[in-house]
Amino acid sequence: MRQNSGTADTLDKTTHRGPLGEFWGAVGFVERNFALYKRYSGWIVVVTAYAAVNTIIIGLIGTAAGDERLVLYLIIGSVLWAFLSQLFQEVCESMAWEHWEGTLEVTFSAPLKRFTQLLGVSAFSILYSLFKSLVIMAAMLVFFRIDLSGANLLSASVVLLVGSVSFLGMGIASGVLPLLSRERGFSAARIFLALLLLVSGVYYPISVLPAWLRPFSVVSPATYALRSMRAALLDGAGLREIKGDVLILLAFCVVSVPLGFAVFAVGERWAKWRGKLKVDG
Amino acid sequence: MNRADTAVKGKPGGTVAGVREFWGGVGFVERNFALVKRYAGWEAVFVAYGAVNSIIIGLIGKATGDARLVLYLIIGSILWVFLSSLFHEVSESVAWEHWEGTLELTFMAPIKRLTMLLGTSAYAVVYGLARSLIILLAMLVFFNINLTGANLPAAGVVLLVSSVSFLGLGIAAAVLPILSRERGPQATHIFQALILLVSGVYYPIDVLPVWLRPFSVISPATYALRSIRACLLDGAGFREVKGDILILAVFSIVSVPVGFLVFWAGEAWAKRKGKIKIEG
Repeated sequence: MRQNSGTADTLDKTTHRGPLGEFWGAVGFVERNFALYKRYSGWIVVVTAYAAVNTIIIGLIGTAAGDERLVLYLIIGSVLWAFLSQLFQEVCESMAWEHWEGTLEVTFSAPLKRFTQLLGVSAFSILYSLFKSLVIMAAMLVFFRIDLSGANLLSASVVLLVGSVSFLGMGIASGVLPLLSRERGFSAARIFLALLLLVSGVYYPISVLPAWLRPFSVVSPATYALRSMRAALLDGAGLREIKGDVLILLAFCVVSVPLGFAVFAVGERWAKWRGKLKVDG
Repeated sequence: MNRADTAVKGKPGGTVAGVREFWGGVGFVERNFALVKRYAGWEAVFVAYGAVNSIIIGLIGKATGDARLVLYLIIGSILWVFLSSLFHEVSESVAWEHWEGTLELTFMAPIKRLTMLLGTSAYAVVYGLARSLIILLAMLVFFNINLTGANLPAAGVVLLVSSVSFLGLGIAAAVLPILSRERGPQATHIFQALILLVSGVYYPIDVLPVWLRPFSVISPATYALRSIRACLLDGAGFREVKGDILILAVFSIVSVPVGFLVFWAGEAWAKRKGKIKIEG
């Protein structure tokens, strides 16, 4: 019987090399991130409350317009964006956090594959994003009567799955930015996220964007995720109706995940070579 | 050069006490701008996010095809950016100092607390205006904002009195980071989110659930938003919005002295309990 459960156990299990050791290594990253969020639980409450208020506010704009469909349209966009954007920024935030705290060099020296680390952080980001989205949904139920009786939940789940993987791939690629520049890197990732929010039709159809901005929506996986999710939930569209968007999202997944890992590997090598990971001060 | 000048002018015996305190206040404005300059990358992120959020809100209106709704949402968005900056910056400034461990030193500086809070408030006004103007410029790329029928002097007066009431709230909220370095700023953020929810920033109050509506009565933002929309959308004059202006004036008259009083009482308590000591 071990004296310390949790992290200590997980660390011991990683000493067994091979896939099982790597698996426990990844679980260790999930555990560590949960421990960090527990430490900063007050701020997690603030961020979640703000996200919930923002989502409710967006829904209330629809209520004020007196359009039930618009309310649901806005709520779907809002909750899906809360989920996808969290997936995107979690990997990057994890790297930025370690770089600020000065522990990144130590983590990179640990006897674990980078793949394992990124998988662990990605797994955490899925769990945390789901949790945050569920809390937001629960808060919305206080304000809105959400009727999804005609929705095709199977199609919606498939869209959520492929949309999530494509966003994780982008998140892994953006995780390299804090390695390149401790301060500007994370800022750049946030600005990129704001641009995705603007061009992806989170709260409105792409057609209301100025003509010069519309081409950017084509390269955002959120555009297809939002369009097909709304088709599934608002119009009960089946997999046949949304297969075009699902295929595009699959293509994003197939490209973005390996590309994300490759970009991270190249960026990490460059950062090491230039001494960018060193612990300052 | 500038900072050194300000410091010299702030020295005791430099000139009369009033002028000395004035330069002390200017010193706080300067210091906060120096901080903004240091964290320019993050400022760019916050302003970009603020601009994108305001544009997105306007685009929701555009998607409905209702030009009045677009203007309604834009006015709410810009006014909220400004008022929330006023509220947030004063409190954030104290929270920042507490995190960095310099609050105790600032409190020991030979300057009145009133000077410190006025200087920080002046910075909040300038910063809030600059941020709102940048966001407004970004919105002009996306929207055709036509204010030909607007009553701008009346809107200006509403902006002025509502700013003072929000500054009073901000000064009172600034005591929270003193009481608790970590929980204080968190409480301020939650309070700000609640004001945003109940004040009708993007919708009329009557779409809120019945149990939430009474809270909108005690938020100065409710009256500021209602009257500024009346001025800008319907060209309402002083006579039409005088009720709201009077309520905002009462908020200002009450909130500013109460804000100082709350801050003073909180500071005295924190000092007695050793809450502002430099840790680690």
